[in-house]
Amino acid sequence: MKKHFRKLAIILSLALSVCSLAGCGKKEDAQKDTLTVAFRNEPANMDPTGSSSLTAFCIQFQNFDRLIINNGDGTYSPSLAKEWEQIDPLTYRFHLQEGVKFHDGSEMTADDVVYTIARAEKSSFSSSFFGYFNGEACKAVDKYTVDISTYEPFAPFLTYLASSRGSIVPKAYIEKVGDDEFGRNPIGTGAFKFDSWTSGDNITMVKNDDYWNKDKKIAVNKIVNRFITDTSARAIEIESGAVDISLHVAGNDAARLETTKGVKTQIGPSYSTTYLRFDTVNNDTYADINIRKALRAAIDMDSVVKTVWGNGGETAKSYYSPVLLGWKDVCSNDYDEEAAKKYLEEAVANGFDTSKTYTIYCSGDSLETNALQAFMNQWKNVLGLNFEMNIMDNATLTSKINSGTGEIPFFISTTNAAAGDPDHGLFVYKGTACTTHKDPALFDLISKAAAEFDTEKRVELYGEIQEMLHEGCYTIPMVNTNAIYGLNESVQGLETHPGYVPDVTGVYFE
Amino acid sequence: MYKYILKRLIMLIPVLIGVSLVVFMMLEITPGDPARQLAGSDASEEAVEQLRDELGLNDPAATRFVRYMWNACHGDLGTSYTTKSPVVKEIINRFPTTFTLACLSTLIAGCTGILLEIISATHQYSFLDRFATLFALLGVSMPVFWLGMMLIVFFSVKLAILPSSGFSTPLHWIMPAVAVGYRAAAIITRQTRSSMLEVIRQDYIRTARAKGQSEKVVIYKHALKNALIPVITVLGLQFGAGLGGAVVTETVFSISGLGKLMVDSINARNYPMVQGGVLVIACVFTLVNLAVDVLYAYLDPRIKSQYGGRVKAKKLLKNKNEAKGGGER
Repeated sequence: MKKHFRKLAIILSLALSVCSLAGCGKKEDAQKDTLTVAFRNEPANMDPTGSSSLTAFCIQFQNFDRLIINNGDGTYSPSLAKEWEQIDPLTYRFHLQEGVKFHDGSEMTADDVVYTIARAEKSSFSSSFFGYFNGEACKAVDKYTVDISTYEPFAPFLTYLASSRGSIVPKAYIEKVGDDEFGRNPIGTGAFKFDSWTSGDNITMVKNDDYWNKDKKIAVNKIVNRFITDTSARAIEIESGAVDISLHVAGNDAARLETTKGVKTQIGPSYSTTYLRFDTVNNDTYADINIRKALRAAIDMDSVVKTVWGNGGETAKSYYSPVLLGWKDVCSNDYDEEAAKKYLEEAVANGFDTSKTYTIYCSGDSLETNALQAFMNQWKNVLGLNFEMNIMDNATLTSKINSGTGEIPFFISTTNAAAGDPDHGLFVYKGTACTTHKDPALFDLISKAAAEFDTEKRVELYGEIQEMLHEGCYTIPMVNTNAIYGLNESVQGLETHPGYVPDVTGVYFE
Repeated sequence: MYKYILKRLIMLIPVLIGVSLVVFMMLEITPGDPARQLAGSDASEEAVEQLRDELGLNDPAATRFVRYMWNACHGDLGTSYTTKSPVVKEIINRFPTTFTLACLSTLIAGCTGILLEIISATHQYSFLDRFATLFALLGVSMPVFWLGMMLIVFFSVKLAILPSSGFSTPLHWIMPAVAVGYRAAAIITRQTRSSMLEVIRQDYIRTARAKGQSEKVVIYKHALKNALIPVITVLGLQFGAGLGGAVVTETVFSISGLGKLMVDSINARNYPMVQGGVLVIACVFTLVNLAVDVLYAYLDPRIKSQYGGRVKAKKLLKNKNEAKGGGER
């Protein structure tokens, strides 16, 4: 008996010793010259035209510069280009900063810009942006002057150039080491130089002491970009002080972080729009506009979004994010149960079978499935229609949607207009592979808006497009999710970026 | 015994070929387009097709498999679709982390499980026995991810004595190893308690006590060795599974291990990485099983004699016949 008590006493003493260590171990103070940022995934590589990951874009902002900076309000500031002018509808001329060095010491010239654009046009990862640019027609007028051309008049020209995919890359270095090596050991002109990449853990950048832009204040010497895939783990890292900035914080974690000492949150609108989408091109199930309108009118979207997303999103009132040019509220009055029933009667008269059980597909995101559950209940209660949910992993769902077989006639989808232009936000409604509609008038209008340089006229055209989309009911907008950042309270100088591509190089501690 | 080991090593080759073929076929029939995953949902069909050509995905399946196996025989497991770096290099980068986690969790499981097993058996129905039973019950009931999160909240957030993520220093190793090892320790405790109880009731244990041996010698020298066979089995399986990657633990603690690499590669349809990873895991798992079987032989001479195989059996039969008066006259 005495032996057992002795053992028990030892165990209890150990436990008490552990507890007494509380307070002795302090949270590791964020070193004021090192900024640690947590991302939700690891980029495939650091080549600006080698990845479509938002994480890659954000880290590339540290390592590379673009010709211009998008101020987010329709204006642009000089960066590697000190001034520019449009010399014809297809061509802009850029006058470059002189004496800008890449991290290997070589000078950036117009040849590097020509090489960058031509390369971006050909790359599979950036052709959605730079497929409009005519790489062959771009030319170096002299060492510091370059003409950049597009195939057709293209209004988002400057917006796309200011995106991460427009980062200027060193021609000589890439030709020497190859694309793959460049992707793993990048060199740019940016405020930070690539230092190391621990696969699966972090990419570290160190301050570029020879940075060309002496007006920009760089307060930290090192940025450690960590990859933490679990959303809760990212929030815990902020709480424990292990990271200074955490991107992609969940709405429910944000509510907790706001009340946590030493932590603050920044919430702002994003470019992201989640919606229900019909494939009316390859499948006839929802070809009748009446059934689509019936489904839309039966949903009390405000209630569902408020309940499911809370402060993590706002009800989508149109087909792209409200922070983009030309946004117009066209969906506010959609909820109307009586109108829904009338549309259903029309659909039934046209042959829609209400006795069947229909399937809606999604990728299993917990918030989206919760919202879908609410929708299915409303469709059952208001219209008497039975739906079931089919959850697939993202790769399978994406593949089937793009297969052209019409296997997925009704599903939930999200677009992120990462470029910051409405043309990018409308990519599911244009192009030869579009499965949402086959309305030639709508295709023409989207192309016309993309080619219109006059901002007022462009706004008008996007207003018309949104009205047409609403009338056609090819998608049912659900929510514009917010960009939520968790920060250590000493972090200053970070602006919430709607595309989740914030520039952290100007961050300082206070 | 050496012939037995050699035979098992030779059998590894058809096992690896079979595993590669099965994984390849499963990837082929699984829906999902690696090119579309890489290019993004906003890429045009032309861009996706261009990427498919670059990755060699338009070649016939048989051609791709034969090409893969030929390269694998020369040590080239292909190039990752996403990172463009060699699969071998990616796996080598991650393997030490996974190996360390597997070793530590197995060590914790072994030490804790065996200790509790001994306590349970030697102090049956006592307070300590009940504590061990409760410990085991909690271990098998508690999800690993929940335990991991609770450890982080308590030790990293509240007490701030252990780091919450990563695997770079010994301090980082503690919580993930405990999270994984606890469950295995619980399984060992539950499964081997009855084995130990059975052993200590044997006549030779009673004889040892009657001859005046101390209880410590009786338990550790006579009883434990015989009760260790099921423990070794569970530990071997646990170690092998750990080498396959504790995916959930790696996700919770943000550890860049092999398990998470595999899951991410499957989600991204990164075929070369999945195939290469499964091949390596299958190889290591087979070697671990072989090591466990060899360990059995050292623990139990009855098992060792079976590893002699047909040759030894024939010799024994010949000797027996000669002893009976056989052989030519």
